[in-house]
Amino acid sequence: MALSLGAITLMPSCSDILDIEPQQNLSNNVALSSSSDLVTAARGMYDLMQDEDYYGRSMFVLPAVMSDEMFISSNNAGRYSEMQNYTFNSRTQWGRELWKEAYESINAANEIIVANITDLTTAGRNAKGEAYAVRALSHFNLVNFFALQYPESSDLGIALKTNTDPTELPSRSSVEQVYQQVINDLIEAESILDDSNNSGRFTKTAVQALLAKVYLYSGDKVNAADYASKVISTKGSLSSNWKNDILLEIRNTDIDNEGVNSFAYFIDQRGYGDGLARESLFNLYDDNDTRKSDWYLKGDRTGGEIDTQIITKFTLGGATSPNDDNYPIIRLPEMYLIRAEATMTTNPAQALIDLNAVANARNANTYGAINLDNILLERQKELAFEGHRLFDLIRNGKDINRTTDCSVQCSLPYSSNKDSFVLPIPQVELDANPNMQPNPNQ
Amino acid sequence: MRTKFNGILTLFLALIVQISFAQERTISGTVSDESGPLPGVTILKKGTTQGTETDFDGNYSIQAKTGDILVFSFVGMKSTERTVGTSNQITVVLEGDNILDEVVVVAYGTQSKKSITGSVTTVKSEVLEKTNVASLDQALQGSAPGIQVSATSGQPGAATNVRIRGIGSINASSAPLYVVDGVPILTGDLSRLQTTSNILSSINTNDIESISVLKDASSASLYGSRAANGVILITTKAGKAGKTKFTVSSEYGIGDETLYDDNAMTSAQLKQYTIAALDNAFGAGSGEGIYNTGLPWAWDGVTDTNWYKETHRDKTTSQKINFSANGGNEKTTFYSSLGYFEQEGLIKTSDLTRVSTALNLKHKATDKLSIRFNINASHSKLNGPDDGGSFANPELASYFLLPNYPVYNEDGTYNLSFFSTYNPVALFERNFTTLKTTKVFGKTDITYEIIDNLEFNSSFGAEYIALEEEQYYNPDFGAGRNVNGSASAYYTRRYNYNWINQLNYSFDINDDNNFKLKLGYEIQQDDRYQINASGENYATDKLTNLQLTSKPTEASSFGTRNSFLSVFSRVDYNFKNKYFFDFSFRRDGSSKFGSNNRYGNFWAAGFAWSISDEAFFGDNFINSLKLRTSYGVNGNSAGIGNFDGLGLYGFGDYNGQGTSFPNQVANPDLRWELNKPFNVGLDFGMFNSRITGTLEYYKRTTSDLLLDKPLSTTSGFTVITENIGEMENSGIEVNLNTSNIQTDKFSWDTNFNFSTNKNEITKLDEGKDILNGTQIRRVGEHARSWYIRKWAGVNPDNGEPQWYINGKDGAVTSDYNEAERAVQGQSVPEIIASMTNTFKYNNFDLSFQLNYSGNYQVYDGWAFYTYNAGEFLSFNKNSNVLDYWQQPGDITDTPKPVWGNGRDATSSSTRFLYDGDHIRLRNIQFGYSVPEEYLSKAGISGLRLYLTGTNLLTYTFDDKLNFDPEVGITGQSDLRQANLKTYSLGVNLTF
Repeated sequence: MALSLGAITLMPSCSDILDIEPQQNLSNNVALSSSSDLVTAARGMYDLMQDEDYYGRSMFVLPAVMSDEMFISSNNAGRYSEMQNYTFNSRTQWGRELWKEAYESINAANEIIVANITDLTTAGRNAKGEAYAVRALSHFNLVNFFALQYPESSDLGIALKTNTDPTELPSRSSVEQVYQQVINDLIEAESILDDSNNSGRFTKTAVQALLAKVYLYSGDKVNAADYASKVISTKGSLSSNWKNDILLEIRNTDIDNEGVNSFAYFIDQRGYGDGLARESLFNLYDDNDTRKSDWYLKGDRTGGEIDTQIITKFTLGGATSPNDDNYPIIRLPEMYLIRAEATMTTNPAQALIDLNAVANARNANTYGAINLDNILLERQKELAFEGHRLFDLIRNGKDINRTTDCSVQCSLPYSSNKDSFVLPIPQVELDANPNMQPNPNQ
Repeated sequence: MRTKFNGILTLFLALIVQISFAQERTISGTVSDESGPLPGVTILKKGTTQGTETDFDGNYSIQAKTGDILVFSFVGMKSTERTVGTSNQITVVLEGDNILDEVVVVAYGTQSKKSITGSVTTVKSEVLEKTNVASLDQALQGSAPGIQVSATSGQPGAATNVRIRGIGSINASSAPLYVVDGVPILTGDLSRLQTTSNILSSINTNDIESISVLKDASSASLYGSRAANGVILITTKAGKAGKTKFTVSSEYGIGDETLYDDNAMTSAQLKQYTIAALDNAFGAGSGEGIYNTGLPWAWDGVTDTNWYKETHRDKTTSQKINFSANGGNEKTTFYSSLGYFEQEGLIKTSDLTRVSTALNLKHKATDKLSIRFNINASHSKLNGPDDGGSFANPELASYFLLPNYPVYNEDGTYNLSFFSTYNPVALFERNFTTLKTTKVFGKTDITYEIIDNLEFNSSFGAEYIALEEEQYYNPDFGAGRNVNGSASAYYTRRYNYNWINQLNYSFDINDDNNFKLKLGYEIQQDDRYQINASGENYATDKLTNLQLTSKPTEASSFGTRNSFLSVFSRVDYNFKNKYFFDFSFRRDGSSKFGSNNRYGNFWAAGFAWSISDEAFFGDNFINSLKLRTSYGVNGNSAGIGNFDGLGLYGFGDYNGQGTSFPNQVANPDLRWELNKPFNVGLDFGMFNSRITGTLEYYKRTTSDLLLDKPLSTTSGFTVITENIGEMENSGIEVNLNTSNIQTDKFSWDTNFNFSTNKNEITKLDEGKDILNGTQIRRVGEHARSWYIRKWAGVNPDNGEPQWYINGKDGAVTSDYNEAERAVQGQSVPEIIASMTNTFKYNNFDLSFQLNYSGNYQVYDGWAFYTYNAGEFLSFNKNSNVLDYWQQPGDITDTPKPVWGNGRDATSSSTRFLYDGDHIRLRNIQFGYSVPEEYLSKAGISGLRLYLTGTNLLTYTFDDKLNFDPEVGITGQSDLRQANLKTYSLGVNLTF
């Protein structure tokens, strides 16, 4: 009897034996329990955004192939061709995965925002600020891709996700409501963040730059110009080296990159090289424009087009060090162009100066007049392959005309196609979430 | 096993006898069983308390007088009575208990067979040892009803699929729980670089005494959340008191393919087929010219390599050597063994070797305290080839490589001009993937009798498994050529311990009401640790160690654990040994379960009625008859990962710094799958137990099946695993043992098993189908249903492939996409049966086992390439396609080939779905035991020579089937090594 009692008392207590935590992962509550945890988690948001279905590739390819910027070589592996040809539907992977990745980053941001940590350090406060900024950026991207542009502000936007409840089945807010949430988050971020981060992460200035863009898209020209000015006054004049003017970018390194699934691999002829620039775009540049020689190469596509326009704006690092390029989210020249667009009627002289500041920085011919077409032209040239072109056209109600390198869907008038430019809500979301409404007219 | 006083008549007789012959004298003799002298046998003068015990050599002496009745009794043996006559010598050979008094190993103890209310089948070591296979699960094939055992590859030591009473899960495991000497062990494929392995193959089958298979609630529910798919209890051999007995056995075998070897085309055949394809694409008569001028791989007219023969052995060999010793005295007994096992697979580099040792020690320290200690240790080495679609898979090479490629260049070097330099013969010589497994299992078990009939037992068992894996790719050709050679070294350590404490109490009320109570407490923990290291760029091509690489590509470690904490209890009650009731209960907690469902309750109730013990039953040709039934609730927790219930953050890096992000959604409700088995059975014995058997019906409903439920992607996650689905398994089982002929010189015994299984999914998430490649999970269908288009043959008019538009019958189409998919049978047999016949004539014995699997379909997963009607002509083809359509009116199943246009003729359809039904001569053994009189002078007590064969004959019912239909539950042949057919010669010596 003594033996049995002895044995039983030796047994560890229940809680000891059943409470096992993983060794390679942390439980949510433990993972975010200090300021330094928040900083690590803040970096994690960019880590998630590196994904090829988000800022690793799709964020740049989709607006390029759906507009008149990029075309897919006849020698291709099938990626994105349904986007170029407008044959996509609610099950097409590019839209579905973009949706998923954007919400993944929002969830990561929400976890940081709701983490209740007392005595936040400066770095911890910055992490919170970055979380608001990332949530805003991803909501903004979602509403751009999956809803009509702001002029249709009462139309269906996207679902706003501001909590960490995985079982919530949110419905869609209006475009206007989404913009309001985005602006609120950015203003919160602006109030929290400082400028201590490098350009691989949000800074106060980068948040202001994003605010300028959001205000411009929403038609609030006063605030757009105001925020563009704040950034310009902080950052100063433009550099002749376009890479020096990056306000926010996703960084890739030798050991941390998307490899063969990266954007650079998609356009670099040492990689897949499927994405080529349309000749119509290439022809916009003056011969003295540094961008023409820096960002493009006339040559043959292996097994495909002869004497075509190879994109060299983003490249693989090289044969010995195959790291991918960094991909910009916002650059300083955009601030000049935003201010130009926002003030072209109220202050045309300053707007023209801003417009020509960009052209001058690239040693390109300057403009004699200020108007929307010139601004969009310069945006097209300067911001090529940075994810702008589709939205620059449709937010201004412009048609999409593919005048070169085109066989199908070469003319897409805005009025008859405005619903086609919007990506359908993914079928997996509609199946899982009865509150999610599909886009009308699709 | 108490004998009862047999009534007043005997008393009178005894009295009379005592009066008549009062003279006492010394009676002596020896008591033995079939294996030799038995020490410790109790000898009682009937009706008295006078008695004695046999000594160490089985001898006894007792004072008795003529007419006294001596009762010889020993645990596990039938008590025998002898009346003292004129002789002073009485020698007795005790026999094992009859069928209903047999003691059976059950969950957490043993039980008399008569009192069992559940479904338990016992398999003895003799049965297991007859089949020449590497692991005990394979040896179970055909040995008991309701157990389906299917090899997945001919690789020695490969994973085996074992299913008890059907498939119990969709996404979780359907494999049973294995328990060795009371300790639940790890099973399955624990390796990480091998394409297949089986940790059960580290156990030497020769060290196993018996296996109990628990199939229903009453027998298995004591294992709670791990019992749903049945439990296999393995009892290792223990020592027997008496003179030390040594056994040496050795077996040597050769083997080849069970059914078919290769069927690839020769160079001339492939040329003919290719030209026909060209003719059909570019116009009759044009093919020959295009072939000769346009194809870089055109045949030179000479080379005709048979890649199957180049990569496979003509004959495999196998060897088994076992040595064991056992003996002891009244206080201490031991069993120890040493074993060696070696078996080659058909592919030239494939083999398994194992060295194993065991010690089992029992010691009775005092009348109240006994200790048992076991240790089993083994080291095995497995060399396995790549399988599936890998270029390095020799099976794939056998079918895909053109016969007009030579193995060697003219200068004797390897020909590396094809298949991205993957010359399989060259790869054999340079590359390897090796798994070394060291497993040590140890257990200490203490039993203390606190008071009469109240026992405390504490048992601590643990297994320590270390797997060392090395993979090497040479720098010159194959997978390593672009990185100047590469290698990986993976280490996996498992430590799995289990501690059980239990109290057992038995008591009677008024003799008629017999109770057994059990109360227990158990802890189990499985701890895994891994190290991965890989590198590339070798400094030399002469050494293969990872240390010689100059560029590390991977260096990491990983650790994880899970634990169970349980209490359990069982009550057995019988009234007059006629009506049996039992109830068991277990409460399981596991670290794997979600926080809202950390503990689960499981239970079972059983009832049995021994009808033949009723007075009304009387004496008739049926000598035993028992009806039993059980119902209960148990669970399946095998599908839940260690931390599946937790919301988790993962780690990565960004811009050279560490990051964290959510990577698993919290799932606090996650719990075990729930299984509710119902069982009813009838056990019978007839004609003095010459015929015994069991009839059973079972139905188990499994609910709360783990399925992926889609989440709104706005959560950042896509799915959450929930306990949603339901399915049912039902069937009948028959077991029949007949002693057909029983004479002094000749005997013939038959064992027959038959079982059916019907599986049906009854609930899925919102009734939605789940597609699983060529299979589907659909409500109302079998969990492993084929879901493909239905082949309608070749159009005799134009040689085009055809399918039924609706997937069943009626209108046909030559447009693959126009045809619908439909359910076309299932990949798991619905009927399994086996029959074993054993003949003995004087010293000769012969036994053979036939196994049958029926009502299932198997699919040729690679026919898309090997039968393709025009594409992939730079790969070889199966020569069966030479039967292609040539002119209008041709009736054939093979469409005409058209260069570059396969027309989906080989895309998945019933064209390559075959009936898997087959009968197999699983094993046959012919033996001769040398008579003792020739041996005793040499001090030898037994010598047996035997010839044995495994998988010697296989009969399949589908004429078109051209591979071994034993392919595992996926039902898909996947370019794996063929199963082995072996012939062996063995000798078994005891002294």
